[in-house]
Amino acid sequence: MRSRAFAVTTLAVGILIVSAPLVAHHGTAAYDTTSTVTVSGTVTEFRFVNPHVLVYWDVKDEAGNIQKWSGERSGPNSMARNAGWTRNTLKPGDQVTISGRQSKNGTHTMAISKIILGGKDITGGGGDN
Amino acid sequence: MRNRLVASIVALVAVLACSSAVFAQTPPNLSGLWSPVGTNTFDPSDPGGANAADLTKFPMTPWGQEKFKANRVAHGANQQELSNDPTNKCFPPGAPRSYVTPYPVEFVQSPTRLAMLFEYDVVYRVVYLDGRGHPQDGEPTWMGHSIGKWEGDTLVVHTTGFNGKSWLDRVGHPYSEQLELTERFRLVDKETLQLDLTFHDPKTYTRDWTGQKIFKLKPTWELKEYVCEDNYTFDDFQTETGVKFVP
Repeated sequence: MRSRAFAVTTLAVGILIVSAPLVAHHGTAAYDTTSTVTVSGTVTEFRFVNPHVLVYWDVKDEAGNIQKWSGERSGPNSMARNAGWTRNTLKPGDQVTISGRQSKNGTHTMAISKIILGGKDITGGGGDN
Repeated sequence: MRNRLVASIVALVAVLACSSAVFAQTPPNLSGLWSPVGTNTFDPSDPGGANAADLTKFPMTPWGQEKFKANRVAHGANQQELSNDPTNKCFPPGAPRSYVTPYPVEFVQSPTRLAMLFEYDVVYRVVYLDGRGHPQDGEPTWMGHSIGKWEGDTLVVHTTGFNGKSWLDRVGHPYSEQLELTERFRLVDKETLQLDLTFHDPKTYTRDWTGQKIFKLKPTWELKEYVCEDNYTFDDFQTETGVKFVP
Protein backbone atom coordinates (compact mmCIF):
# COMPACT_ATOMS: atom_id res chain seq x y z
CA MET A 1 0.00 0.00 0.00
CA ARG A 2 2.74 2.29 0.99
CA SER A 3 4.70 1.47 -2.15
CA ARG A 4 1.57 2.10 -4.18
CA ALA A 5 1.21 5.56 -2.66
CA PHE A 6 4.87 6.10 -3.37
CA ALA A 7 4.41 4.98 -6.96
CA VAL A 8 1.47 7.35 -7.43
CA THR A 9 3.46 10.20 -5.91
CA THR A 10 6.43 9.37 -8.11
CA LEU A 11 4.19 9.31 -11.16
CA ALA A 12 2.64 12.65 -10.22
CA VAL A 13 6.05 14.23 -9.69
CA GLY A 14 7.18 12.69 -12.97
CA ILE A 15 4.24 14.23 -14.78
CA LEU A 16 5.00 17.61 -13.23
CA ILE A 17 8.65 17.37 -14.30
CA VAL A 18 7.73 16.26 -17.81
CA SER A 19 5.20 19.07 -18.07
CA ALA A 20 7.70 21.71 -16.92
CA PRO A 21 8.93 22.43 -20.46
CA LEU A 22 5.45 23.71 -21.21
CA VAL A 23 6.35 26.77 -19.24
CA ALA A 24 7.81 29.06 -21.83
CA HIS A 25 6.74 32.68 -21.93
CA HIS A 26 4.42 32.64 -18.95
CA GLY A 27 4.11 30.03 -16.28
CA THR A 28 1.35 27.59 -15.47
CA ALA A 29 0.13 29.50 -12.41
CA ALA A 30 -3.25 30.01 -14.08
CA TYR A 31 -3.80 26.24 -14.36
CA ASP A 32 -4.69 23.55 -11.86
CA THR A 33 -1.54 21.43 -12.02
CA THR A 34 -2.83 18.89 -9.50
CA SER A 35 -5.05 17.03 -11.95
CA THR A 36 -5.35 16.21 -15.64
CA VAL A 37 -8.47 16.33 -17.77
CA THR A 38 -8.98 14.56 -21.10
CA VAL A 39 -11.55 15.58 -23.71
CA SER A 40 -12.17 14.45 -27.29
CA GLY A 41 -13.60 16.53 -30.07
CA THR A 42 -13.18 18.28 -33.42
CA VAL A 43 -10.55 20.93 -34.12
CA THR A 44 -12.03 24.27 -35.13
CA GLU A 45 -8.88 26.36 -35.24
CA PHE A 46 -5.10 26.03 -34.85
CA ARG A 47 -2.82 29.01 -34.30
CA PHE A 48 0.93 28.39 -34.68
CA VAL A 49 1.90 31.53 -32.74
CA ASN A 50 4.25 32.78 -30.06
CA PRO A 51 4.52 32.53 -27.19
CA HIS A 52 2.54 29.25 -27.26
CA VAL A 53 0.68 27.41 -29.99
CA LEU A 54 -3.10 27.48 -29.53
CA VAL A 55 -5.63 24.77 -30.29
CA TYR A 56 -9.40 25.30 -30.37
CA TRP A 57 -11.79 22.36 -30.50
CA ASP A 58 -15.47 21.49 -30.02
CA VAL A 59 -16.54 18.78 -27.60
CA LYS A 60 -20.02 17.24 -27.49
CA ASP A 61 -21.28 16.64 -23.96
CA GLU A 62 -23.63 13.79 -22.97
CA ALA A 63 -26.69 15.86 -23.82
CA GLY A 64 -25.31 16.56 -27.28
CA ASN A 65 -24.46 20.18 -26.53
CA ILE A 66 -21.25 21.64 -27.92
CA GLN A 67 -18.60 22.76 -25.44
CA LYS A 68 -15.94 25.12 -26.79
CA TRP A 69 -12.45 24.13 -25.59
CA SER A 70 -9.09 25.80 -26.13
CA GLY A 71 -5.56 25.05 -25.01
CA GLU A 72 -1.93 26.04 -25.29
CA ARG A 73 1.21 24.02 -25.80
CA SER A 74 4.91 25.07 -26.06
CA GLY A 75 6.07 27.79 -28.43
CA PRO A 76 6.05 27.14 -32.20
CA ASN A 77 9.87 27.21 -32.47
CA SER A 78 10.11 24.53 -29.81
CA MET A 79 7.29 22.43 -31.28
CA ALA A 80 8.94 22.57 -34.71
CA ARG A 81 12.38 21.56 -33.40
CA ASN A 82 11.35 18.94 -30.90
CA ALA A 83 8.13 17.54 -32.31
CA GLY A 84 8.25 18.40 -36.02
CA TRP A 85 5.11 20.50 -35.84
CA THR A 86 4.23 23.00 -38.57
CA ARG A 87 1.40 25.48 -39.01
CA ASN A 88 -0.45 22.64 -40.80
CA THR A 89 -0.10 19.98 -38.10
CA LEU A 90 -3.72 20.51 -37.07
CA LYS A 91 -6.59 21.74 -39.19
CA PRO A 92 -10.31 22.28 -38.72
CA GLY A 93 -12.22 19.00 -38.77
CA ASP A 94 -9.42 16.92 -37.26
CA GLN A 95 -10.60 14.48 -34.58
CA VAL A 96 -8.46 14.86 -31.47
CA THR A 97 -8.20 13.63 -27.90
CA ILE A 98 -6.45 16.21 -25.78
CA SER A 99 -5.26 16.02 -22.18
CA GLY A 100 -3.96 18.78 -19.95
CA ARG A 101 -4.33 20.92 -16.85
CA GLN A 102 -7.53 22.91 -16.82
CA SER A 103 -7.74 26.59 -16.02
CA LYS A 104 -8.28 27.37 -12.34
CA ASN A 105 -11.08 29.75 -13.30
CA GLY A 106 -13.13 26.75 -14.48
CA THR A 107 -13.37 27.72 -18.13
CA HIS A 108 -12.78 25.08 -20.80
CA THR A 109 -9.14 26.03 -21.23
CA MET A 110 -6.04 23.96 -20.60
CA ALA A 111 -2.29 23.73 -20.70
CA ILE A 112 -2.03 20.82 -23.13
CA SER A 113 0.15 17.87 -22.13
CA LYS A 114 -0.94 15.29 -24.72
CA ILE A 115 -2.60 15.30 -28.14
CA ILE A 116 -3.83 12.22 -29.97
CA LEU A 117 -4.64 12.85 -33.65
CA GLY A 118 -6.19 10.02 -35.66
CA GLY A 119 -5.07 7.50 -33.04
CA LYS A 120 -1.48 8.77 -33.16
CA ASP A 121 0.27 10.60 -30.33
CA ILE A 122 1.63 13.82 -31.86
CA THR A 123 2.49 15.48 -28.56
CA GLY A 124 6.24 15.33 -29.13
CA GLY A 125 8.93 15.91 -26.58
CA GLY A 126 8.27 19.59 -26.04
CA GLY A 127 11.75 20.03 -24.68
CA ASP A 128 13.50 23.05 -23.30
CA ASN A 129 13.04 25.05 -26.44
CA MET B 1 82.91 23.30 -26.82
CA ARG B 2 81.80 25.14 -29.89
CA ASN B 3 79.45 22.32 -30.86
CA ARG B 4 77.99 22.44 -27.40
CA LEU B 5 77.38 26.18 -27.70
CA VAL B 6 75.71 25.71 -31.07
CA ALA B 7 73.60 22.92 -29.66
CA SER B 8 72.53 25.13 -26.78
CA ILE B 9 71.63 27.98 -29.09
CA VAL B 10 69.67 25.63 -31.32
CA ALA B 11 67.85 24.25 -28.28
CA LEU B 12 67.10 27.76 -26.99
CA VAL B 13 65.78 28.86 -30.37
CA ALA B 14 63.63 25.73 -30.52
CA VAL B 15 62.16 26.43 -27.09
CA LEU B 16 61.45 30.05 -27.97
CA ALA B 17 59.92 29.01 -31.27
CA CYS B 18 57.68 26.54 -29.49
CA SER B 19 56.59 28.99 -26.79
CA SER B 20 55.90 31.74 -29.31
CA ALA B 21 53.88 29.18 -31.24
CA VAL B 22 51.90 28.58 -28.07
CA PHE B 23 51.35 32.30 -27.56
CA ALA B 24 50.37 32.74 -31.17
CA GLN B 25 47.93 29.83 -30.99
CA THR B 26 44.55 30.65 -32.40
CA PRO B 27 42.00 31.01 -29.61
CA PRO B 28 39.07 28.59 -29.52
CA ASN B 29 36.19 29.39 -31.83
CA LEU B 30 32.90 29.68 -29.96
CA SER B 31 30.85 30.12 -33.13
CA GLY B 32 27.75 27.99 -33.34
CA LEU B 33 24.12 27.76 -32.32
CA TRP B 34 23.95 27.19 -28.57
CA SER B 35 20.93 26.13 -26.57
CA PRO B 36 20.93 27.03 -22.86
CA VAL B 37 20.30 24.24 -20.37
CA GLY B 38 17.62 25.30 -17.91
CA THR B 39 15.48 28.34 -18.51
CA ASN B 40 15.04 30.23 -15.26
CA THR B 41 18.23 30.73 -13.26
CA PHE B 42 22.03 30.86 -13.28
CA ASP B 43 22.07 28.19 -10.57
CA PRO B 44 22.22 24.68 -12.11
CA SER B 45 21.40 23.20 -8.68
CA ASP B 46 18.15 25.21 -8.52
CA PRO B 47 16.76 25.48 -12.06
CA GLY B 48 13.29 26.42 -10.78
CA GLY B 49 14.51 29.22 -8.55
CA ALA B 50 12.97 27.77 -5.38
CA ASN B 51 15.81 29.35 -3.37
CA ALA B 52 15.74 32.70 -5.15
CA ALA B 53 15.07 34.55 -1.88
CA ASP B 54 18.00 32.92 -0.04
CA LEU B 55 20.11 35.88 1.10
CA THR B 56 23.13 33.67 1.76
CA LYS B 57 23.22 32.84 -1.95
CA PHE B 58 21.94 36.19 -3.20
CA PRO B 59 23.22 38.76 -0.67
CA MET B 60 20.82 41.58 -1.45
CA THR B 61 21.14 45.01 0.12
CA PRO B 62 17.96 46.51 1.65
CA TRP B 63 17.49 48.37 -1.65
CA GLY B 64 17.95 45.08 -3.54
CA GLN B 65 15.53 43.23 -1.29
CA GLU B 66 12.89 45.88 -1.81
CA LYS B 67 13.25 45.59 -5.58
CA PHE B 68 13.22 41.77 -5.38
CA LYS B 69 10.00 41.70 -3.31
CA ALA B 70 8.28 43.91 -5.87
CA ASN B 71 9.14 41.49 -8.69
CA ARG B 72 6.25 39.08 -9.25
CA VAL B 73 7.72 36.28 -11.34
CA ALA B 74 5.98 34.41 -14.16
CA HIS B 75 8.26 31.35 -14.19
CA GLY B 76 9.75 28.72 -11.95
CA ALA B 77 8.95 27.56 -8.46
CA ASN B 78 7.51 30.85 -7.17
CA GLN B 79 5.52 31.90 -10.21
CA GLN B 80 2.50 34.12 -9.68
CA GLU B 81 -0.64 34.50 -11.72
CA LEU B 82 -0.37 38.26 -12.18
CA SER B 83 3.28 38.74 -13.01
CA ASN B 84 5.02 42.07 -13.60
CA ASP B 85 7.91 40.47 -15.47
CA PRO B 86 9.15 43.28 -17.75
CA THR B 87 9.43 40.89 -20.70
CA ASN B 88 5.69 40.23 -20.48
CA LYS B 89 5.30 43.77 -21.76
CA CYS B 90 7.99 43.12 -24.37
CA PHE B 91 10.74 45.11 -22.72
CA PRO B 92 14.05 43.55 -23.83
CA PRO B 93 15.52 40.91 -21.51
CA GLY B 94 18.93 42.60 -21.78
CA ALA B 95 22.17 40.96 -20.67
CA PRO B 96 22.58 38.55 -19.02
CA ARG B 97 18.91 37.57 -18.95
CA SER B 98 18.97 36.84 -22.68
CA TYR B 99 20.71 33.56 -21.75
CA VAL B 100 17.88 32.58 -19.39
CA THR B 101 15.21 31.83 -21.96
CA PRO B 102 14.17 28.57 -23.58
CA TYR B 103 15.55 29.89 -26.88
CA PRO B 104 19.00 29.47 -28.44
CA VAL B 105 21.70 31.99 -29.27
CA GLU B 106 24.04 31.99 -32.28
CA PHE B 107 27.64 32.98 -31.57
CA VAL B 108 29.59 34.40 -34.51
CA GLN B 109 33.24 34.95 -33.69
CA SER B 110 35.88 36.89 -35.59
CA PRO B 111 39.36 37.88 -34.39
CA THR B 112 38.00 41.26 -33.22
CA ARG B 113 34.35 40.57 -32.34
CA LEU B 114 32.04 38.04 -30.76
CA ALA B 115 28.49 38.64 -31.92
CA MET B 116 25.64 36.99 -30.05
CA LEU B 117 22.40 36.69 -32.01
CA PHE B 118 19.58 35.87 -29.63
CA GLU B 119 16.49 34.13 -30.99
CA TYR B 120 14.29 35.56 -28.26
CA ASP B 121 13.04 38.92 -29.46
CA VAL B 122 15.61 39.06 -32.29
CA VAL B 123 18.18 41.00 -30.24
CA TYR B 124 21.95 40.97 -30.52
CA ARG B 125 24.98 41.74 -28.40
CA VAL B 126 28.55 42.49 -29.54
CA VAL B 127 31.66 41.79 -27.46
CA TYR B 128 34.73 43.72 -28.67
CA LEU B 129 37.89 41.59 -28.72
CA ASP B 130 40.20 44.21 -30.25
CA GLY B 131 41.65 45.59 -27.03
CA ARG B 132 39.53 48.71 -26.73
CA GLY B 133 38.25 49.88 -23.34
CA HIS B 134 34.80 50.89 -22.18
CA PRO B 135 33.54 54.29 -23.33
CA GLN B 136 33.61 57.21 -20.91
CA ASP B 137 30.14 58.48 -19.96
CA GLY B 138 28.44 55.99 -22.26
CA GLU B 139 24.65 55.96 -22.31
CA PRO B 140 23.30 53.15 -20.07
CA THR B 141 21.71 50.37 -22.14
CA TRP B 142 19.89 47.04 -21.79
CA MET B 143 22.92 45.05 -23.02
CA GLY B 144 25.66 47.28 -21.59
CA HIS B 145 29.08 47.65 -23.24
CA SER B 146 31.17 44.48 -23.50
CA ILE B 147 34.89 43.94 -24.03
CA GLY B 148 36.66 40.59 -23.96
CA LYS B 149 40.09 39.02 -23.98
CA TRP B 150 41.43 35.49 -24.06
CA GLU B 151 43.08 34.01 -21.00
CA GLY B 152 44.36 30.71 -22.37
CA ASP B 153 41.32 28.78 -23.56
CA THR B 154 38.88 31.02 -21.67
CA LEU B 155 37.23 34.14 -23.05
CA VAL B 156 36.80 36.69 -20.27
CA VAL B 157 34.16 39.33 -21.01
CA HIS B 158 33.62 42.43 -18.91
CA THR B 159 30.44 44.45 -19.27
CA THR B 160 29.40 47.79 -17.78
CA GLY B 161 26.95 50.51 -18.72
CA PHE B 162 23.74 48.70 -17.81
CA ASN B 163 20.49 50.61 -17.41
CA GLY B 164 19.27 48.33 -14.60
CA LYS B 165 15.76 48.05 -16.05
CA SER B 166 15.49 44.28 -16.58
CA TRP B 167 15.96 41.32 -14.22
CA LEU B 168 19.14 39.26 -14.06
CA ASP B 169 17.20 36.04 -14.51
CA ARG B 170 13.65 34.75 -14.81
CA VAL B 171 13.16 34.49 -11.06
CA GLY B 172 13.28 38.21 -10.36
CA HIS B 173 16.81 38.98 -9.16
CA PRO B 174 17.25 42.71 -9.55
CA TYR B 175 20.26 44.77 -10.57
CA SER B 176 21.17 48.42 -10.87
CA GLU B 177 23.09 50.66 -13.23
CA GLN B 178 26.12 49.87 -11.04
CA LEU B 179 26.27 46.27 -12.27
CA GLU B 180 29.61 45.07 -13.58
CA LEU B 181 29.32 41.65 -15.14
CA THR B 182 32.27 39.32 -15.70
CA GLU B 183 31.67 36.29 -17.91
CA ARG B 184 34.11 33.45 -18.47
CA PHE B 185 33.38 31.29 -21.53
CA ARG B 186 35.10 27.94 -21.97
CA LEU B 187 34.46 25.00 -24.29
CA VAL B 188 34.21 21.93 -22.07
CA ASP B 189 34.06 19.77 -25.19
CA LYS B 190 33.03 20.33 -28.82
CA GLU B 191 29.35 20.35 -27.92
CA THR B 192 29.36 21.97 -24.47
CA LEU B 193 30.02 25.58 -23.58
CA GLN B 194 30.36 26.58 -19.93
CA LEU B 195 29.72 30.16 -18.86
CA ASP B 196 30.65 31.29 -15.36
CA LEU B 197 29.30 34.69 -14.35
CA THR B 198 30.32 37.03 -11.54
CA PHE B 199 27.87 39.74 -10.52
CA HIS B 200 29.35 42.88 -8.96
CA ASP B 201 26.64 45.39 -8.08
CA PRO B 202 27.23 47.13 -4.73
CA LYS B 203 23.91 48.98 -4.91
CA THR B 204 21.95 45.72 -5.10
CA TYR B 205 24.23 43.11 -3.48
CA THR B 206 26.47 43.33 -0.40
CA ARG B 207 29.13 41.16 -2.04
CA ASP B 208 29.90 39.63 -5.43
CA TRP B 209 28.15 36.37 -6.24
CA THR B 210 28.50 33.87 -9.04
CA GLY B 211 26.32 31.92 -11.41
CA GLN B 212 26.71 29.39 -14.18
CA LYS B 213 25.03 28.51 -17.45
CA ILE B 214 25.73 25.49 -19.63
CA PHE B 215 24.99 25.58 -23.36
CA LYS B 216 24.68 22.64 -25.76
CA LEU B 217 25.66 22.97 -29.43
CA LYS B 218 22.77 22.41 -31.86
CA PRO B 219 24.46 21.98 -35.26
CA THR B 220 21.25 21.00 -37.05
CA TRP B 221 19.16 23.93 -35.83
CA GLU B 222 18.71 27.30 -37.45
CA LEU B 223 17.75 30.47 -35.67
CA LYS B 224 14.03 30.99 -35.83
CA GLU B 225 12.16 34.22 -35.30
CA TYR B 226 10.61 35.17 -31.97
CA VAL B 227 9.19 38.66 -31.97
CA CYS B 228 7.70 39.55 -28.61
CA GLU B 229 5.09 41.87 -30.05
CA ASP B 230 3.57 38.82 -31.78
CA ASN B 231 2.58 37.73 -28.31
CA TYR B 232 -0.14 40.33 -28.32
CA THR B 233 -2.12 37.92 -30.48
CA PHE B 234 -2.21 35.95 -27.27
CA ASP B 235 -4.42 38.68 -25.81
CA ASP B 236 -7.26 37.21 -27.88
CA PHE B 237 -6.76 33.89 -26.16
CA GLN B 238 -6.81 35.57 -22.77
CA THR B 239 -9.94 37.48 -23.64
CA GLU B 240 -11.67 34.38 -24.97
CA THR B 241 -10.77 32.22 -22.00
CA GLY B 242 -10.55 34.65 -19.09
CA VAL B 243 -7.09 33.21 -18.34
CA LYS B 244 -4.84 36.10 -17.34
CA PHE B 245 -1.06 35.90 -17.39
CA VAL B 246 -0.17 39.58 -17.25
CA PRO B 247 -1.61 42.48 -15.23
